[in-house]
Amino acid sequence: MPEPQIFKQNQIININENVMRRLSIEKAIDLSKKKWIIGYMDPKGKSNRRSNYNAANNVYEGIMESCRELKIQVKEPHWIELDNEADMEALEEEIQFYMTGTG
Amino acid sequence: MLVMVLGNESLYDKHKQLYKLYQIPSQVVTARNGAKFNLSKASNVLKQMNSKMGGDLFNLKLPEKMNSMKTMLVGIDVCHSGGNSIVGFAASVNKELSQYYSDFIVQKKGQEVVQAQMKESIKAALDVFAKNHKNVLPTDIIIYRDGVSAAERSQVIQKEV
Repeated sequence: MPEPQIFKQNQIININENVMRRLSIEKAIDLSKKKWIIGYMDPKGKSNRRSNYNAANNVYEGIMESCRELKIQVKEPHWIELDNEADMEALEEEIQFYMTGTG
Repeated sequence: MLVMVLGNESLYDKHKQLYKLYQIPSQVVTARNGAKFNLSKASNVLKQMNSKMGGDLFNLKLPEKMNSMKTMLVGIDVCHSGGNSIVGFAASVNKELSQYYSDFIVQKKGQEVVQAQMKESIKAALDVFAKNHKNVLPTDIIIYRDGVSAAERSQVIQKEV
């Protein structure tokens, strides 16, 4: 079969894996204010649980940089910090808090 | 969109169930992946987020004769590597073939031909398609069916189509 073709800025481009990797997004989402949340665990006090703060911060920085490259509008996320990521009730409360607009 | 950085990967299902309950599109990144989150990983994750939130990664150039049609593109394949055989199912739900409904079916190990459950997946995909097209169903359905040997072809036509 021939290579697939896509429309991009009124041009037709033949697609392969390398071209695909460099493509900007056709219809980009909006991650501006109140549109996205990052959640992670950071246990308080003495705990055997490991903090995911550094990983979450890496994810945040990577997404912010990628957004700029892929021309996606982005603003600061809402952050959810959990004492224990297995505590689903606490997470649910945080989600409700965010959704009711008080977060 | 909720991006959750998760240390304990076994909590994945519980987290996903909660996000589904609140109808929040979500992206789970394991803390292991997050620790080495380079630009290439970030770009891949962001593209997945873009799709989950209804954005399009690209628009295909479709043959002109398809302009007047409302085509649904379906892809089906079966993976036999685990304890069961898993059917992967994806169906386009917009005219541009850029948004997809997806589902999976668990069946007996080694079984290639998908039986009755296929009907439910197709029906759910058609419902989403109709919802996106003012209750109009596709005019045409193209099915890509991978992994079928010549001997199984007649069975697939009889039982799946």
